[in-house]
Amino acid sequence: MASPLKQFEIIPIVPLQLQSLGIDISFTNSSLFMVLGAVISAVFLSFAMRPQALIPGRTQALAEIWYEIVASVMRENTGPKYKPYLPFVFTLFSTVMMGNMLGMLPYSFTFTSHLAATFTLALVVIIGVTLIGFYRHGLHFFSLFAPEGAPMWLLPLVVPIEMISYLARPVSLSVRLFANMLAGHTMLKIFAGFSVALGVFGGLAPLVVNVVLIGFEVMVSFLQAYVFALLTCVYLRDAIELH
Amino acid sequence: MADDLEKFGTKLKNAQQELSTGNDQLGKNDDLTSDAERSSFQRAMRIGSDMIAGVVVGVVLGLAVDRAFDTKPWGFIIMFFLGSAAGMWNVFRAVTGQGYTVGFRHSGQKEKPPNVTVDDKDA
Repeated sequence: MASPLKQFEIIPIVPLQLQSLGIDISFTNSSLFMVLGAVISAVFLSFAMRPQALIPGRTQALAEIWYEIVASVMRENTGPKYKPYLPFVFTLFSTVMMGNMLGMLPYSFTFTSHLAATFTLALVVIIGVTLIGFYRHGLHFFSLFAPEGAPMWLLPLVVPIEMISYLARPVSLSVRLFANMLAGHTMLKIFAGFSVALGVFGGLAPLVVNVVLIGFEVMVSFLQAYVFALLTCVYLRDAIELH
Repeated sequence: MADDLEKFGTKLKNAQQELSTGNDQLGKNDDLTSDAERSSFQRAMRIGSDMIAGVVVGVVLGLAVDRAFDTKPWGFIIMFFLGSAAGMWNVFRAVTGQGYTVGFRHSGQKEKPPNVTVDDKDA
């Protein structure tokens, strides 16, 4: 039986080495599923919104719900000036959700189960948010690190802690997504392994558990994408609405 | 005249309704986060990752400082404690419902922690 962690192996499909720089830029199964996620969500959304009916059909309703989830999260968490950032957060949400959901298909690969992928996404978010903050508020952005009402003599201690806390955001954001996907998929595989090992009758119990777990995992896939988008919105509010 | 009044009445009602739903949405901020973290597993995941992240960032920064300025082991020691403090601080914020923000600027006004008294000046 294959190891439960074998599903996370990265296999190069089109090997490509930049010898002079020593960088491996092979097109891997991870990249394949990133491309698939982007293509599927783009094609589905443009196809679903084709009719542009006032009363949406099923596919159009799904596309509208998809949009509405992101829009409402942004409205409630980023404040009134959320509009310019909507495309970015929508793309981010779609990327993470397609990554998680495609990973639920048998024989597929979940690129969000790799810290490298999620940390890159989180870095894009945090660097973007910081740049937006500096662009909108200049050096005043640093006042984010000095809590209101803290006594002066505490500032040398509080400011470094706040800075570390700020830098910990991308780590926390990416680790949460990656750990959830990794743990969930490993658990599915382990229970599936039990069903095989226990035979026809004994294997029934883990099979039932697995059915429940798959439903749970679909929920976690959506929830983690949602949380990722939600936290991006909250960070954006910090950068936009600095007082 | 009566017609006009009636029109105004419906308009007012609509506006009030809109306002109240708008207010609801503002107040919902807290509910929304708890909605996304309804299961205690999600909450545990968040708090765990928040605490670990602080320590990890502190340690990495400390090692980087040591390497850059050749101050072994002081950078590591100091940054480790600062990082742990940051992690604990994040956990405290998460547990008291102060939200995800750095600092306390928004938290005092928008997301009032349910069981922690807020400074009177802020309220």
